[in-house]
Amino acid sequence: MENNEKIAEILKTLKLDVLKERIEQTNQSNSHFLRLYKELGEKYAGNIVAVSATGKIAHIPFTRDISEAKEHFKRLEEQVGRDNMRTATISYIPKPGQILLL
Amino acid sequence: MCRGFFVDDQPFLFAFLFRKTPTDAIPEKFLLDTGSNCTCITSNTAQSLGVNLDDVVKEDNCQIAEGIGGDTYVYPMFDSFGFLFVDESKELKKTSIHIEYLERIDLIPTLSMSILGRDILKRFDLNISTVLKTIELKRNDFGGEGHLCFSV
Repeated sequence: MENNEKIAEILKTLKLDVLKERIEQTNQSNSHFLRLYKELGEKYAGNIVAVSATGKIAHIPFTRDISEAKEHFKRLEEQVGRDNMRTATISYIPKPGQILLL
Repeated sequence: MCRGFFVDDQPFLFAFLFRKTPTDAIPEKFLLDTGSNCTCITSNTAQSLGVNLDDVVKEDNCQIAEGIGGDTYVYPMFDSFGFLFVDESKELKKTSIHIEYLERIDLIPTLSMSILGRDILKRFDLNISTVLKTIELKRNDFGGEGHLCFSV
């Protein structure tokens, strides 16, 4: 398929407004995450923390137990909202001041 | 031009990832890793792409990648994977769409974040300033085919 045909095909299916909205939400959650960075590192050691586009903080305790982790993850999804999970900034904080982006 | 960002000194790039068509592209943050041969994704991201993990994470599809931190179990996936970058110019009132295609992505179940490896990065000239905290990726002329670029 020629590039022009490919582009026409993509333009037919591309939901540009949705993509732009997702970018905006991701940027907002990143901004909140960076603003809250120090606080998150101090308060939420041992947790997985999600910061949403609205600045809402949700957290669950880290566990190595898979079935327990699945339950915790469901709770995180409920708190953040399933649609918002991919645009939220999610991190794992193993110990105070150490933040790993997930 | 694609622009990345830093989180705690780690360089990231935001892209929409899809299989075959961009209709259901998912937003994903990738760590820029010039030390990794291949682009790798987490189990969570693979599931969001509609990958059935049982089809991929199996013994006869397992490869071992040697690295500084020890051996890692890697599960290659072969398909038409696309990375869609959106760059909006408010001055020109235009949106630039840039899509890079890869035929292979590795799934690493133990990975905590998705990684953009040299298979994609070698197509770009990277401009990273840790002082200004800016990351710019510009498609280079020697990056080969496998990409589409247009504006709307």
